[in-house]
Parts: sequence; structure tokens; C-alpha cells
Amino acid sequence: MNSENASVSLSNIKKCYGTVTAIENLSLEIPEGEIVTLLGPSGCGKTTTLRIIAGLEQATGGEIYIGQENVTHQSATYRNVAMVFQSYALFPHMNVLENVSYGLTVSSTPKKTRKEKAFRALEMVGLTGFENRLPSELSGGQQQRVAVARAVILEPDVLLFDEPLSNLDAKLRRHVREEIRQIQQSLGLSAVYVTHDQEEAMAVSDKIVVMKDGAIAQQGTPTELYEQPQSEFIADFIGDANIIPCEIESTSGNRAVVKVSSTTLDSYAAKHISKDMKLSIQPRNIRLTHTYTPNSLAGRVQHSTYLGGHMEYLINTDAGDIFVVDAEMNEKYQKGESIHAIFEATKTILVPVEQ
Amino acid sequence: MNKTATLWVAIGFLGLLFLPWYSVDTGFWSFQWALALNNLENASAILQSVLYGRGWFSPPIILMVTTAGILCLRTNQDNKAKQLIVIGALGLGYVIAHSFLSLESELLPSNGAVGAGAFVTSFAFLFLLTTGLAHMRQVGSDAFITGLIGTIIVLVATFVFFPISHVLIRAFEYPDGSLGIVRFLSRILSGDVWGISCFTGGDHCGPAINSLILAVATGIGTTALGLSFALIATRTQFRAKKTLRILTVLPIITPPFVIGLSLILLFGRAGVVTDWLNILFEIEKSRWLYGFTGVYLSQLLSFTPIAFLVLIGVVEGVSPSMEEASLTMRANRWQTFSNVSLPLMKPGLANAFLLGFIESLADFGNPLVLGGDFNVLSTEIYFAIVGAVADTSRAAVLGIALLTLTVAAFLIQRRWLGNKSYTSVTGKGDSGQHSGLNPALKWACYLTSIPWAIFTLIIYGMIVYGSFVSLWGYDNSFTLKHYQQAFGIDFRDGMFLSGSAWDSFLTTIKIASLAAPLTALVGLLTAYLLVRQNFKGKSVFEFGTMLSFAIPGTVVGISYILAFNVPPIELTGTGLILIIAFMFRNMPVGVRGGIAALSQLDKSLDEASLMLGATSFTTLRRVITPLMGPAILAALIYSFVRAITSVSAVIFLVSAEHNMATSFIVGRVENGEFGIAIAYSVVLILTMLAAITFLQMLVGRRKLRRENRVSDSNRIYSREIEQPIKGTAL
Repeated sequence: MNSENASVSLSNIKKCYGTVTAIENLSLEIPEGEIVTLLGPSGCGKTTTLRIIAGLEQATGGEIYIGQENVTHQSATYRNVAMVFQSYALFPHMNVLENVSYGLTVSSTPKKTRKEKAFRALEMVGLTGFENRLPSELSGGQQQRVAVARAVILEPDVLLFDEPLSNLDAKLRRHVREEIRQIQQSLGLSAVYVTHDQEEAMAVSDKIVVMKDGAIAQQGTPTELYEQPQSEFIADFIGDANIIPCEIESTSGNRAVVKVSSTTLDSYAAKHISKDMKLSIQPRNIRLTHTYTPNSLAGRVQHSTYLGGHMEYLINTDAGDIFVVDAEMNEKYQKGESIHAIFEATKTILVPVEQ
Repeated sequence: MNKTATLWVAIGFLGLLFLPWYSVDTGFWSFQWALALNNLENASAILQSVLYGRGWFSPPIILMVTTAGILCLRTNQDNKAKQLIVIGALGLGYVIAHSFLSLESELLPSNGAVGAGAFVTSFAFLFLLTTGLAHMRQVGSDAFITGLIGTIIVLVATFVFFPISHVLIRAFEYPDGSLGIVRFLSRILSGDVWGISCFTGGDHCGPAINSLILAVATGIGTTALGLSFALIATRTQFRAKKTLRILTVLPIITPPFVIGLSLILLFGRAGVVTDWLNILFEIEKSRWLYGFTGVYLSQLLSFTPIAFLVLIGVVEGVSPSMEEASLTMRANRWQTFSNVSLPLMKPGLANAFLLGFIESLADFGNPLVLGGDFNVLSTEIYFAIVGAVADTSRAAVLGIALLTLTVAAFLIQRRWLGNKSYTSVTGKGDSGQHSGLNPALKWACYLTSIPWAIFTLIIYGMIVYGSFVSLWGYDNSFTLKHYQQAFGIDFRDGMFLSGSAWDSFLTTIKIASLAAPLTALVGLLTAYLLVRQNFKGKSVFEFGTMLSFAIPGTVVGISYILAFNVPPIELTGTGLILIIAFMFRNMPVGVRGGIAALSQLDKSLDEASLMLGATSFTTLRRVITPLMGPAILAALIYSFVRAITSVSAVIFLVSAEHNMATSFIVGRVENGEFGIAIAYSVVLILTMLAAITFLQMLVGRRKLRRENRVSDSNRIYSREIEQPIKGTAL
């Protein structure tokens, strides 16, 4: 089941809490040296999956391999994985050095090696000189870095991140996520990263696994997910797309001509075309004009918001309200104006209707 | 798994080969048995089997040898684990079954009371079983956790459920020894217990009815007074708030008879108030205090602080923002209180009521001193045992009646109130302010609470004063003779503790200091299992460990005499039985304190430690224990103090050799030597205050040092450390 170069592979993992099924037949591979992100709305099972890899939860069914070893029944203590917790979980009664070297201390590593490695890890995260501070004497970003140093010091087969940025303020988040990415790459570690923030996922991942209701909805590179959503859910969750009901008139290859209310539009189908499809288009891929243009829907500006770098519009059309982001701002449209919303054909994607 | 199992096999062999199987008369720790291992009394299992031809000892030996064999083979680990489970269960079952069944059939040394060998062997089998279970991942996560669960189950079963089952059996027993339900039903339902003739013009109600009436009255009274105190402490600008809080510490350091004795000094026939009333208004001196009134008054005094303590939390728990919301909607302060705050406190009030109800039912000291003709269940049980004819069967029946009432209240408290809490404290900072009380309510609280607080202080003052008076009411001259009699030290030939109380005082301190760490240990480990581990049957486990809270001390007392006066487990007359009784009576408090403290500790701390390769034992030692410091000290203080003030269970279990302070005081009270009893109580209070202050100082220093080091307080940590410090007031 597990391929040669996968550092972690899950096969048919199932997790039930009493009668509630949290994860249903999940199979997943984490390739060597890559960051794979588990992304999804809360309650989708992404954290449970991470905790199953960590050994903090036992799977109800299925098997887990780390490297070539079957670790399904091993507890967290004996798995060679490390984790960075959402709350950092730094031990408040130990100073930075004691925290970082804790893993080596409990495995009875000689004191000298312990200290050397801890200093190297602290240097890597840029916290040299902070050894004797208590966690409570550090800022949130510094605590985060201590947590990372503490996790990498054991040279784990795989590093797990459980929403590591959610306790940081917005500006720091961007900075820290780049640091995490950099450390992971320089050490060549495999990592699993859990988040509910799609922008964060895009920024750090080699591969994103989007989960919904305890199963994988779609996985792929950030580009694949963004540009070729295979379901209404992905289109909405990853691309914040407008989802518009439509009827398929004709198809040729992977192109289709669809009818939205009374207007005919060209569109591009991501996978294969079935009968019940909806049109998905991201707000940035719609242009607005005053004059009629082919491939456009007629509508009226219901609401316009000026946000400095771009404009946001809510357009009232026969097919429902659509949300448009205009970054060019060649022209500003006022509330109540009649306009045409042009759908760029190559960015207009058909997704199957969700049941 | 192999390493752990090998260790337990080795320990098992130690138990089977070297240690005396039966209890030895000279005491295990004297090690005199080691000089004559081949005696029948001192022989280990293998010697019993070889030298004395007792064949029944071979199965455990064979099982242990088989285990050693299994561990040497290189078979599948899963199969090995299954075999360990089977062997462990068989061995443990066999040893227990035989300990009971062999009693009648054979001539056994020490009448068959088991000793060190049997004890060690049983635990070896138990841990083989749990080690196997740990590998199968059936219960906890590793061998340490399953072993811990196993140990606590065995201990609670042996020292809580086994004795209680003796009470049940005895209650169903006919005089000829056979069992039957008819006699039990007729006895437990008889008018002797449940009579209500006092309502219909007769003299006496049955003790069960008396207990019930008293408990309801006490529950209502303490809740009302407690609420009034709590409102003053949290919702007014009252100046002496801090002093009010001292009241909460009083009941735990008050020996059981103090309040009753002090009431006698005030209102008894020779009491101060009685005298004054007689002189000023020519009201005749009477014995009105003895009976329902006196007991009720003393229980209100004793248990109001407990209700106060519970209700402070409840009143503070109502989110200020809800009250502010109500005020912004143009409700006045009275409307806000009656429509918002009070309904939100309802579950807390019900909880305080049930607590007062249970405390009143279980109370033994006050009714004993002040009861007079007013019989309640707890004292009736005592008199059934120590009366002219010891009637254990009647004691058992009364015990069951009492147990039914307390356990019912306990169940109601858990089932009905367990999930019904409106306290709206969340992790988020709730920055609003509690609304003040409206003037009428405020003055109502002041006028009830302040006189009551003063009354309480007078009561305690009387005790100190009374201990220096030679003969209360008759000879009011100052004297130190009570202290001399009790705690005199003779310096004529070196130092000699000549006072009559020294013996029991030193025993009490010794037993309490031994029991306190054990109680704290068992309680906190149980809390750890309940909060941090998931295993099958956890809810039953929790219920079992908390149930001993609902068992009144008198019932514990008779159950221990019934169960441990006879082999196979013979403990009566030893100091050990006192320690064990304290451990399992006070354990639930340790459990609750531990649960509260652990819930404040972020679970990801444990997980982080596990992820870094620490075992759960290492995690417990290096991460959880250091962070639980204040909770550990609180548990220590509480169990130490409770061991000193406890009387109801103790009074059945003391012996000439191991007499305790409280039972010594009972003796003095029964002889009418109030002076010594009071002086002794004062010394006990001072001892406990000294112990508490000492331990509080330890906690306090810890806090200061931390705060100096912690400039910008860490969210998780600072909460964790403040909470249990409040808890030490418990």
C-alpha cells in the first residue's frame, strides 16, 4: 500500500466516536520532504487525521505507516513524529532551553549532546540568548519558534503542525509561515500542516488536501485546486467563487455552451461534463462594462465598496446576486447603475451540482 | 511489555517464595518472621506447600512459573498479551477465592488472615493482567496507566465496596446466621425507624424521620445564610469582607464537639445566657437546648460556612455582562436580581442545599452532644454498637436506612444537577462589573449575616475562654488545670509527658501525617485518570470513586468493623485501619480538587510531552506534577485536617493502642469532664491552624517567586496557579 518514498501513508483510516463517524475510509500519502496541508472547515476531520498520525488518537480501522514501519498500534511516545501545537503547549515551569531539550532529556541523551543540539535548534529559529527565559516572558511569535525548535530537535520522520498560526496576529502570521516553510525546506523534513485558512494553505504547501465531512474532497497542488476545482464545495471554499445555476446547451471537447437564465455563455469544464452542472467563477475573473459584450450577464449594481486597492461589487442579475472584485479600477460604478458582467471563458468552470 | 511483565513475575516469586503468606503476630516490619521461615505461621506459599503439604498453594506457583516460561519464548506479542491477561485473572481470582473459601475448611495459621506474601502475590497477578491489557490497548494507553486503573479499582473495591457489602449482608441476616429478606423488610420499614408518631401527638418519631426533618431544615437554613453571606462578600462594599472569608476556613479546623460544647456553655443549664435570663427576667433554667433545637442550631453554625464557600463561587459565576444587559434594558437592581441573577444561581443553590442535607445526615458529633432524646440515625447506629447489648444487626439496618438517604441525595445531586450549570464563566475575559444589591436586599443580608457572624465568633471565643475556667457555671475562677491535666509535662526525671491527652494527641498527629500524603496521592492520581485518560467503563469508575463521599462516617465505621474484624483481611486494632479509613473517606475531596486543577491545565501540554517521546509516567512526573503544586498542597492540608477532626468513623475503629484525639474527647464529654474536652479542642484548633499556616506559606512563597519571574503572565499558567490557591481555603 505504501509507496517507497512516502514518509507517511494512511490507508483506509476510519475513526468513530461512539456512533458518530469522524473519518470515513481516508487514504493519504505524505511524500518525502514535502509539506502537505490538510485544509477544511471546522469539523471536517482534519485535526483528527493529524492526531491519528501523531498517535494521540487511535484509528478505529485502517493502517498507518511511517516510513516502512506499520505504526497503527503504536502510541505517540514511540512514534518518530513531532508536533507543533496550536497553543504551542510550552511547559510553563521550564525555561526555553529546558523546553527545547525536553525530548532529549526524557530519552536520556547525554547532557552535553543535549545542550549542543538545543543551542543549534535555538540558533536555527533565531532565539540565541533566550535560553533562560520562561515561555511567559516571550512574545507569541517567539513562543511559536520555541515550539518549532522543540519539535525539530528530535529529527522526526514527520513534523506535524496543528493550526500553528492561529494565535498570532495577522501581520506576524505571514512572517512566521514563511519561516516555517524555510526551516522545513532547509532540513528537508516531511510535514503535515493543518489549517482552516486557505490563503495560509496556499502559501506553505506543496500539496493541499481539502477535507469535508471526514473525507477528502480534492487534493492537488495549490494551482490545481484554485484553477480546476472539481466540485462546488472546492470552488467556493478555495476560490470564493460565485456559483451560478445553469443549463448545458452543447458541448465540444472540454468546452461547453451553457445557458444562464436567458443568456448564453461559454465555459470550460474542469473534468467531465454531466447533466447537472453549475457555473463557477471567481470574483476577480469577472469584468464590468457599461456596453454590451458577448459572454456577459446584464445586471444592476446593488452595492459597491471602496477598499483602497480594489473595489468590491454586488451585482444583481437574473441568475442571482454575483460578487465581483475589480482590482484595476479603471472606472467606478455607482449603486443602481446598469452594467454588464463579462465572464472570462477560460476562467469559467463547470462543477457538478452537490447533492 | 516483556520488561514490565518480567519485573512483576520476579516480584510475584518474591511473594510466593520468601514472604510469609499469612499475617504474622509479631508484625511484618519487625522481621522476626525471617528468623524462622519454616514455622507454619511464617511460611511462604512454597514452604506451606512443601513442608505442610498444603496442595492448594501449587496453582499460583504453577501459574507464575508458566508466565516466566511464556515470557522466555519468542512468540507473537499479541498472543503473549492474551496469555498474560488469562494468567493474571486466574491467579488473582484463585488467590481471592481461596482466601475466603479456605477459612471454614482448614486449620490455618492466624485464623487465615492473609499477610505480606498473599498481598504481594495478588498484586503481581493484578499487574500481569493490566500489562497484558495495556498491550491489547483495551483500557488505557500504556502499562503504567492500566496498572494504575487496576490498583485503584482493587483498592476501592476492597476498602469501600467490600465493607459496605458486609453491612448489607448483616442487615439481611437472621439470628441463626441464615439470610432472608422478610426480617430485613420488617425491620427497616418498622416504626422503630420510620415512626411518625410525633406528628400525631406521640412523643418520638423514628430516627430516620428525625434525621430527615433535621437534614431538610439544615439544608434550607444553611443555604439561606450562605447565600446572604455570599451576596455580602461579592455584591456589596462591605468593609470586613476579608474577615467574612475567614469564616470559610473555620469548619474544617473545628473538631466535631466544639460548637456543641460552646452552645452548652452559653445556653445549657449552667450557661451564661441562661444565667442572665434567669437573673434579669426570671426565666426558669431549662434543658431546652438538648433536642432538635440544639442540634439544629449547632448544625447551622457548623455547615453555614460550607454553603457560603459553595455559593461564593455560584454568585461570582453569574456573568456580569448578563446583569449589565438587564440593567441597560431598564430593569432596576431588584428586578435584575430576581429575574436574572437568582434564576441563574438556582442549580448552585440546589447544590448547596443537598450538600447541607448530606452533611446534616452524616453529622455525628453535634447530635451526640446535644441530641438528648432526639434520636437521629447516625447516633442510633453508634448506640446500637456501644450500647448495653451490641446489636450489629440493628446497626446494619439503621446504616442501610442512612445510606439510602445520603446516596439518594448524592444521586440527585449528580444526575439532576450534574449537567445543569448556568455558570457563565468562560475563558474569555468578562470585564463587566457585578451589579450591586438594592438597598432592601442589602440590609436584609446585613441584618441576618452580621449578627450570625458575631454569634459564630462568640461561639469560638467561648471555647477559648471556657478552657481557662475551672468549673463552668459553678466555679468561674481562672485556671490552667485543664491544660495541665491534658498536656502536662513532667520534668522531674528528664522529660515525661504526664498529661492524659498526650498519647491520643501524638497518635492522631502520626496517623494524620501518614494518611494525608496517601490520601492526596490516591485522590490526585484518580483525578488524573478521570480527566486525562479515556478507558472503557470510565463513568462507572468515576461513580465508584466518588460514592464514598456519600457514605456517612458512622456507616463506614460499622462496615469496617464488620469486614475487617475477621479473616481474611484482619485489620481492626491496628493503626493501619485508621489510615485506610481516612484515605477512602477523604479521597473524593482529593479527586475533586485534582479534577479542578487538571481542568485548568491545557491538555496539549501532556500531548506535547508524549509527542516528544516521554511515557505517561514521565509526563506525570515532569510536566503535570510540577504544575499541580498548589492542588497537591491543598489536598495534603485538607486530608491532614480532616483526619484530625474526623470522629464518626474513627470512634468505631480506635483501640487502646491507637486512640485518637476525637474519641478521647468523646470519652471526656461522656464523663462530663468538659474542661479537658474544651482545652483539648483548643489545642487541636491551634495545631491545625499552625499546620495550615505553614503549608499556606509554602504555597504563598511559590506564587510570589513565580510572579517575580513571570513578568507578562502566561495565560494558561497564571490561571492554573491562582485557582488552587483559592482552593486551599476548602
